[in-house]
Amino acid sequence: MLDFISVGLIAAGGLLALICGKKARPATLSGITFLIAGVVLSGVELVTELQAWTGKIALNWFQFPVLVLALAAALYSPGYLHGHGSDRSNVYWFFFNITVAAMLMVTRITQMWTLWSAGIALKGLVFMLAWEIMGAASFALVMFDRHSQTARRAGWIYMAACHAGGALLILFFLFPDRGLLSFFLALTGFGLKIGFPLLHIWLPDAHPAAPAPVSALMSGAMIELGFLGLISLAVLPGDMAVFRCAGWTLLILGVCGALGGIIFALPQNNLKRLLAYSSIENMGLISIAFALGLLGRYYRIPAMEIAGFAGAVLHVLNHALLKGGLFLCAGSVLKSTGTLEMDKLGGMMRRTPATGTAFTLHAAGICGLPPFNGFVSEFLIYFAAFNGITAGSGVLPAAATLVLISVALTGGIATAALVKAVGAVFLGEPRSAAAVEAREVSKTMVMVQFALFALSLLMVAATPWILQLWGGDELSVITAKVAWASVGVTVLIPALLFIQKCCCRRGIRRSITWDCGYAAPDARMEYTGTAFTQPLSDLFNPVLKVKKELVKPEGIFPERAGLKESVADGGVRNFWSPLTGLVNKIAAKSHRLQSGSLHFYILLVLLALVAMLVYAMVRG
Amino acid sequence: MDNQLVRFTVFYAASLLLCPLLAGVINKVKAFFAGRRGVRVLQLYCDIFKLLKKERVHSRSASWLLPLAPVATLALTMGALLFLPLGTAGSPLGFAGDAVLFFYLLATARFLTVLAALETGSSFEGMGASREVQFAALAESTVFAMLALLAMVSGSVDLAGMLSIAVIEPASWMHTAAVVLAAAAFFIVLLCENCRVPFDDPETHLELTMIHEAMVLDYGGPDLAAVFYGAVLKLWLFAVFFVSMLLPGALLDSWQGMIYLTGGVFVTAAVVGIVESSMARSRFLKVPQLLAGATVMVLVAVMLWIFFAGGAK
Amino acid sequence: MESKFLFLANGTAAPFAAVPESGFDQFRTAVLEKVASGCRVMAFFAVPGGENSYQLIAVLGDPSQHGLLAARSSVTEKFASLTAECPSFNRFEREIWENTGLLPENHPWLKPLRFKHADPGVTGYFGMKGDAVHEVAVGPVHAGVIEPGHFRFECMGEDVYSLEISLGYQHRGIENMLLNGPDARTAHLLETAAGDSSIAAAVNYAQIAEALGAAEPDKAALKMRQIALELERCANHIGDLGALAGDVAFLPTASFCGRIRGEYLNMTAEFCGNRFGRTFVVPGGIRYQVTAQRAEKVRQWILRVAPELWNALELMFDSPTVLDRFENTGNVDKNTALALGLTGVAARASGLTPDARRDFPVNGAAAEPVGFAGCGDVFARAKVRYLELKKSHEFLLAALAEITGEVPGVPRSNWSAAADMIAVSVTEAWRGELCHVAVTGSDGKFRTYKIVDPSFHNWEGLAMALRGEQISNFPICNKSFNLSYCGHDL
Repeated sequence: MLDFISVGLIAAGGLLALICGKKARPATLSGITFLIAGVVLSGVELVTELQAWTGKIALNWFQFPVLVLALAAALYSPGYLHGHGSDRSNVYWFFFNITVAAMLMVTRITQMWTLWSAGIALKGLVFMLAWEIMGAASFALVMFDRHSQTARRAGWIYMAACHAGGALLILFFLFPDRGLLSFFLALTGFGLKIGFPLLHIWLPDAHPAAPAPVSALMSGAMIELGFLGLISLAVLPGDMAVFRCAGWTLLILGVCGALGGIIFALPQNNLKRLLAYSSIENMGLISIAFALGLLGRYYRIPAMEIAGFAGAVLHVLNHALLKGGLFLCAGSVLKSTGTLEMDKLGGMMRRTPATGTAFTLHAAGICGLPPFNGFVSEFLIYFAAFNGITAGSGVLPAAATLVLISVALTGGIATAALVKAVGAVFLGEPRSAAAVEAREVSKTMVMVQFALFALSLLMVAATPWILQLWGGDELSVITAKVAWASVGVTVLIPALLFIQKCCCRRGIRRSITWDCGYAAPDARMEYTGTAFTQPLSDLFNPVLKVKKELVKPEGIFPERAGLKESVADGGVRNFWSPLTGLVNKIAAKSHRLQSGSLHFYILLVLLALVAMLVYAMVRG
Repeated sequence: MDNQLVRFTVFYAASLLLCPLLAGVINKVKAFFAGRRGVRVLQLYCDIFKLLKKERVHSRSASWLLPLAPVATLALTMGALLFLPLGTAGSPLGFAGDAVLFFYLLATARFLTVLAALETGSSFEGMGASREVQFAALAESTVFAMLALLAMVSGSVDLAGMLSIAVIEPASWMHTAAVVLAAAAFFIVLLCENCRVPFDDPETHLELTMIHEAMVLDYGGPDLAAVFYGAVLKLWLFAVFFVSMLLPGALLDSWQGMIYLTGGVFVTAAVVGIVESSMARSRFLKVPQLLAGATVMVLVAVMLWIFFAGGAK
Repeated sequence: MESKFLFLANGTAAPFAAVPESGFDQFRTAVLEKVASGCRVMAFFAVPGGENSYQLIAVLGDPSQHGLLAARSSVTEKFASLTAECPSFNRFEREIWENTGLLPENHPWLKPLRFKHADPGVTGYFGMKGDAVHEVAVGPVHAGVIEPGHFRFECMGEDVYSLEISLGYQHRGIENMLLNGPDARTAHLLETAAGDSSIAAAVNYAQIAEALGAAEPDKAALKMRQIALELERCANHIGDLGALAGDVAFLPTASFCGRIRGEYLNMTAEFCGNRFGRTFVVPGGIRYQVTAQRAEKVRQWILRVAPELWNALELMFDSPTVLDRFENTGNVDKNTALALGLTGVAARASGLTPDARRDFPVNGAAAEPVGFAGCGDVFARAKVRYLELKKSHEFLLAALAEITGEVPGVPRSNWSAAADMIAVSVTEAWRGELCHVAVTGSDGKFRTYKIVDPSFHNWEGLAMALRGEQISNFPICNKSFNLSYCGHDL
């Protein structure tokens, strides 16, 4: 009940903001206050509901990312918009609040699905209303930077994907009982929102184009709602056959998405685009987790089932906090320097230490490294896979082995990509004037970044309790041990630092980096981000097909040389571009039918009449 | 139980004390093959003590990551050592799935080392860091393939169960073959993660070919001491893992078992020395093939196990 | 056409006035034509000619006539560069510009060579455009105990797109110190210009001195000189092959070769008390007498050590991991080698066959060069060294057996040079052709003494070898050339 009130409040806040006109402060105030009110109300309702849902993994938990990220993004936005479009704050807050309201509506409807005793048509209609409003409002936010060509293009692709997904979902709600057909309709419909391989092409364009708080909200909360819809509406109500099909399909899609996503993240030069591909990778991991849970249920391996589902939902929560933090830090980088090109940045840790530290911590988390929370959910995925190996039969152990290898490889490549991001942007020496003159962003923005990290640390401690709530007692014990081990190892670090300080009496001296004694070193002698991941990019070049515009130095006394690299998205290059090309070709050919000649049209009418006469004669 | 805790503590302390000897053993073996006498076996202890007395110099380009990394890496490696099982009862801190935590603690250590290397803004460190993350990404997949195989063969998901299987199983040749293949793949990973020939030459003075040595070019004094010590401790870790895979768990459940384990570790170090003496270092472009080959080897073992041993136990 | 050049046999002198002088354009055309028809550039330098003008002297090596060709021309202020049409003149023209201020017009790469007037290494470098491209700057101080030099790579990750080498850190001004010689220091300065080629430098100096007026050596002494030269060649080739093995971490061969090189150095010391053969070769013959027993002792020594050497080397060449590193690494193709005027081991590995022993024989003592039509990769350069070692051993065993009597030593004498002469001497040092050109003034003192180390030609080869190569292969490419920094810097 409270949820509907909060939805209304947030929407009202948005409308109020819109009416405020060009004045930034009233718009911001009305937007934020109503949003905070709505979030608090929903939060209260959520917490009270959780107590009632012990013993099973309730999908209510999907509301947490929405609430937390909405709050974080809202608090971050005023600082971000300052100088970046604050004169259109009213528009921003209107669409922002509507998006959040729609997202809350979607989560509430999904939770109520089985309790609501209306027909599927009505339920579907209400769901689609909320879903489409969410898509439309976020489309407006993606296009907020309306003067930018890339932003407009990204917005239109996003809109096309939303509509295609919406159409497929309407079909799904029309035919909900056709077993596998329904499942595949839902898979593609929700998949366009989640970012499954081939359906992901809007993601790498939309996230960099949108303002940073919007990217954080979309990447951390919105795309996960696709999983909420898919699992609770299409899979769980189904029968064992659907479980098996869903399990295997999600497994394959997950592996392809995880590996493909992170491989494409490697050569990216734009920081937010790298993070967008990392989101695709994490969606792949969540998909794998759900698949392992479903297969555990189908093959009746309880340890695998609960580890899989728990890992999936925990990864949704962890990813929301960490990826949200990463996108907000990326936004701070953009505000400080005006560019997101990693090969032009560098040395930001000494100029914007707060953002740098926050980004590094979030990056460590998203790589799944202990002692942070990202590790716990990846651990559960591994655990589910291991149980599949030991307790499974038939083809399951082999599949679980491949899952293990893929997730491990993904983790390794993710480390490379995130280290590139941290290293190229924050470490070393600045590579351009923009980076030299960077200043730290406002205190509120910095605090939000750190607050998200504090929450993710809290998740490490909270995970055993959450798992107990979900009925996974042994998992709870295990994750408690993981948490203690992480704490213990982290405590060892200050202890050793202290010992080192005692051993070394002579203090620290600062000097220049070793430059081989050369008289005039400069910043060009620093490794660039692209160079850092070049070995891995070259290894995966058959997939990436990096386009190198290379002008080689010619002859013994070369005059010029240059190199420019770009990577086109794999799905676009291999599937969508050829498909649209084909459609264009067919359309061009059929364009000839529109010759403009009246005689031709009369001929067509005559042919149609003749055909109808023939048909009538044959029938009659 | 108490006895096991005591044995584990003694072995942990012995590991921390004895690991610098591994470097000495490898150097002596290599010197023997080169017809030289070589440095003394205790040389690394002397080096570490000498370095502890020196001044700490840090690059001006660096922030808080550079001073933190050597000690944090050492702490994480020491933490990982806590989870290595000793015999069938395993480590006192062990739990189901602790293999994942073990390897991921080492991954965190590597994350910090690589970031600290990039702090200096030097192309040598950038080069070393880039190579390190590339090899590590590929080695991770080999390691987890091996863990999958061990899980299949042993039927358990914790390190104690996985490592206490014996190599020789009279009843099942498939078992022996699988464990041997897993051990061989792990040996290749050992060489890779510890920067040994054919992946890296630990004695090279050529900056452009270094991996691990390049990442620590701008460290000196106590920081470098922590790096050296952390590196040999990591080698000890991997060697214990390797030997535990080959020796039956029941053998390691006693005090004599600890002697066998320590002896096995030194034998492994000698084998590393022999391997280093008999082959050249491979091209960087060929290293992914080596690691992928190791993964494929394990996958072949997995397939054979599934087909011939009928899945898990 | 012939009258444009003066023909000089190797190790002879002629009056300086006999060198034909022509207008610069004719000089330039003639020199370029000769180089295009197969001659090699031995030296190209400027001598002060009074009143703000300089005499540009070109010395070319003509294999078809088994001798050297010299020509000169007078220029003031500037001259049209020959480099654009023939890249072998690159460093010579930069040297002229740096020493005298004469401007080579339209020189495509006019940068300081030895940094006489600037901080070494500080100059503009070739840059590659693109945000992803970065530079790797190695040196002058290296991580091992090796000579200083600055290497600037344009890279993206592991791929090298271009390498530029900047030397001059060891410029000692040797050529300046040689002016107004010969005196007590001359021999020492020449032997230590590049310390590992002492014997070759001493042989060159001895031949120049004998051409300019010192006493003629007898046949046995000449034979001993060759023996010493071949011992120097052996020791350095063994050291190089060991170092190559060490760079790819193949430790057995690296260690064995390190020890065996010491044996060959000790053999040289057996003859003259100095492991690098300093003061052994003097104008007029050899300094210390060599008895038949001593020769036989060294011969037996070689017979004892050689099998160990072949074992160590075959171990390396049979190892697949080593061959995988060496093959197809650091390729310098034949056309590039020809254009750059590479010499010695590097040239022979790229399919050319320059060899001063065959092309410019002194007193008829010629050896067939070890040609190896390789694709100019590291393996080819290693294999050429191996084949040269075999050939040297054949020669050494035969030559040492021929010493039946006593070879007398001659004392170091103060000889005086004839006035207004030009003398040329070319020796096949272990790296390649080492050329000395001496021009005396009216007082019989050196007006100029030009030293052209084989590394002077070959450094460009290393830069070209790294184009499109992986940066981790730079050390073995560098080691396969093993060029002299101090020989270049003088």
